[in-house]
Amino acid sequence: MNLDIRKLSLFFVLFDSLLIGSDLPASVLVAAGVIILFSFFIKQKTIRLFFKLIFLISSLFLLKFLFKPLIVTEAGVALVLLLASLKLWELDSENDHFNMFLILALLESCLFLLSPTFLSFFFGVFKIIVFFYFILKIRNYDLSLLSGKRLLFLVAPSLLLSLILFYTFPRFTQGFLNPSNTQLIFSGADSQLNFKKLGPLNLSGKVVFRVYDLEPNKFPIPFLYWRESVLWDYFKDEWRTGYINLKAIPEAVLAPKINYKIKLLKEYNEFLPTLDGTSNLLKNNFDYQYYNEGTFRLKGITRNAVLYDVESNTKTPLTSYTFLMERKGLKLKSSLREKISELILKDKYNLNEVEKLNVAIDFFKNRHFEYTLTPPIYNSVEDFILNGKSGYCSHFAASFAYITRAIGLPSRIVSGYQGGEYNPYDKSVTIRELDSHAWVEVYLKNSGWQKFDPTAIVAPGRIALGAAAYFDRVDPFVNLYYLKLSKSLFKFKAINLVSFYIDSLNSSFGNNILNFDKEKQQQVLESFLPKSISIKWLFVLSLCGSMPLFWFFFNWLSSRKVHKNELRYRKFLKRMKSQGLIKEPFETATLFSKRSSLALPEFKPLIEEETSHYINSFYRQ
Amino acid sequence: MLINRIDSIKEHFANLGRQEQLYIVPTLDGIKLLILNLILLIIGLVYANNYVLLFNFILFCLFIGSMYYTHFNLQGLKLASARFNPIHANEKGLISLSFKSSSSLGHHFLGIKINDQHFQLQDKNFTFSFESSQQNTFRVDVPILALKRGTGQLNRICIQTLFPFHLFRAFVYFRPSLYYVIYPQKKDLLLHLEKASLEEKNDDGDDFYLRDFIKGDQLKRVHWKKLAQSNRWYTKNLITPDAAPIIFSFLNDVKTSGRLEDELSSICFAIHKCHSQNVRYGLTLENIQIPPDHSFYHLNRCLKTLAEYEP
Repeated sequence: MNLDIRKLSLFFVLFDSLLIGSDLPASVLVAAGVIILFSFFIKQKTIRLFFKLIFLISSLFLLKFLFKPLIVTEAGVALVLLLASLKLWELDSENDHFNMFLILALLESCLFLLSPTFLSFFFGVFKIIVFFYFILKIRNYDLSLLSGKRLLFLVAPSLLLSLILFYTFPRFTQGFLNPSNTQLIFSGADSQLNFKKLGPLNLSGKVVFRVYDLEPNKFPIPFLYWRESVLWDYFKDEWRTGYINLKAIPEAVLAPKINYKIKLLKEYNEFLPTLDGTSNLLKNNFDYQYYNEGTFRLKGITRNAVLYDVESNTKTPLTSYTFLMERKGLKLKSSLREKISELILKDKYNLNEVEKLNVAIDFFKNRHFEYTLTPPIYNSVEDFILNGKSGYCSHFAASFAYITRAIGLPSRIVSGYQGGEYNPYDKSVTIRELDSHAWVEVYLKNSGWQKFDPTAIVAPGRIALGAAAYFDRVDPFVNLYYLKLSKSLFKFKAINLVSFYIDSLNSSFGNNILNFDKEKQQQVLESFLPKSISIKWLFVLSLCGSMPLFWFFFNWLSSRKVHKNELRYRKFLKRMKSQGLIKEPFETATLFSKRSSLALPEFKPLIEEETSHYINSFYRQ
Repeated sequence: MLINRIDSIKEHFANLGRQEQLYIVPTLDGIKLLILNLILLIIGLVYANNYVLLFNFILFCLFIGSMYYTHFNLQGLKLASARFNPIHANEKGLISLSFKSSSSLGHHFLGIKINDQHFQLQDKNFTFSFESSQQNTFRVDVPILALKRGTGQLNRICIQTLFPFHLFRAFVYFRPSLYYVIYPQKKDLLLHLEKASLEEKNDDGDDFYLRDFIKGDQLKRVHWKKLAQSNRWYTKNLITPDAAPIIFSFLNDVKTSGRLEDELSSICFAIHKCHSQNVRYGLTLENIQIPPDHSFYHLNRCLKTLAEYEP
């Protein structure tokens, strides 16, 4: 096999760039590409060194320019990617190969940070192993020496020890707050809505959370609404959360209750999704605050998955209504408010709240909006209400909340998710970013906060089918450059099953590895160890104790296997030694037999039997 | 089974004091990997990312595993014997090393390090491997290059290994106490002095000269008297050599001329020439005098005298 470490390194760097590229600014990827491209053309050693220095300095300046502050994860990842690109310039000696291996290992770790899935983990480890294999190959090793039994005895105890260390390693930190969350572009459900920035919607299949123990037969999944945050404050075309001063103790959930577990996988999430209605969190291992707008907010931002048990009642609407809520729910500072109000109500006065709501619904229906994922940019909510033609859930929810407030009905936008996908393998419901949704709650004195989904008026199919199926129906093609391919070409039952299987595997791997935190560690270890043993001592014990274990493994592997008859003779010699007779190295078995028979006549039969057995075993046919 | 295993471990510890001390240190690559482990540990802790932590532990444990592997690649190796065949300076030769092994894994990619002023390894990256087999003795011929004439004792041979991952260097020092002779370089310089010597007669008046006994010679031609005197076997050769014996000596005063090595090389060449032509020869080097003779023993004696000569 023709080994070319440069091509292999290039392949791995490009591959990793593609995987982490979506989390990095495009300019970093372009810079990495330029560095790699130049490495092919500049051959002269001094010029190469000069260009390398130039590229290194420029890369550092670029990072300084792009990331403020510099300690964010993405800056670190970008630096490693640029260093890997620069290392591609020098891959001549064995030393360079090993350095490249170290940089690639660092790059894989960056991948685990940005995309912590079991596939990326296994594939990353596999890539590192392949690269190391090639390094050994280049060093002219006969790798057959490492095959089979030998490799097994090297890898098996290593893996065993690494798992022991991993599970006993004391988790004294839950990770530090990462300032990069301020720079992330949020997708999916959001805790703010800027109307002027509502452009074409980018649908991402990234999993936001999973729900366990929900029976799809009892609760049709497309009709499940997942409440996350509530947007109250409307100011200059921007809707924001207004939970301040709404702290409360969760309301009691009335029967019939739905009990389920949620595993929130999205990083930097501020609010915890629950089923829309009244909900209460039962079991959790984190600090949170309940607000009487029906939301649960995490105290602090976590980078890890969050697991919690919830009980909900989807039939009971929230009833909490205070003076502050009324003020928040009716707040509408807008110069066009009067005009729009008149347009909606026309000449109808003295309407009660239900009549007002019906008028608002009629007005909204008569606007004949269309559902689209690629709407034009509107200047304001008013612009959309008066002139708009097409939009998606955020447009409809914001405009309907505006309309209801304009005619004097307290309302708020609920940001969350709708629907999900049922996985029969682990019996979970997966909610992805493309399931993000927004609807409106209008307060009616007699029935509390009533849910109203304006998107259901515009596009009933979007709600009934769920996001994924509806988008497939609206746009059944995949554009591949100039080709338009039907999505049905990629939808086979087998592929779906495999994707479900991988998804469930990823989920279980996430449960046991990725989300193995301090509490879980405590639980697992306490289940089979006395409580008095501290985890840090257990770690030290496993680290120190595993060393003799390793030694034992290798000693066993390397010790020469002794024939059982040889062992029997050795035992006999040991017995003779205890009687004061030691066999000299030059002495044959027969000579020793004669000498010992003379010295110990009482043992003569034994001596003769053992000697003849030994000689017959090894020296006679 | 377990009792046997415990016995073998007991045996191992009992033999520890008798074995050569085995050392193991991380290589530069190993240290780099250790630093990477530290960085990954910090990243894993800062971001509380378990994949990074697990990846770090896997790398760390493979590092530890490779340490044991490297150690056991050398463990159980003993130097049984060493042999050095005399060679001339600037010539290639071999050191034959016999090893005994008590490991069933075999020993792979073992390198050798010899520090001696008179000779060096032909290939510094020379490695050898022993497969495990029932026969636990192995022989390896290490190619060397003689640098300069002289005799000495090789007191230390270092056997080292980086196998399997180059992350650790395990090494052991064997003390073979190997005596070696490196003869002067053979050069046809004609810088020495050659004198014809008077024919040496035997004490008993017979007309023969003696040569080394060669297997197959008739026993009646063995010089029994000489055998009794010197405990060496000689055969009486009744045919006199063609040429008169030659005595080699220095042409110049080697202390002042500074051409000692050239003169020794020249004599060395002439000695070989005489030996191959069946001419008897002797040496006179200041105080050292070797009477003319012709035998392998005599050849080695003369060459060794040249190798050891110090003015």
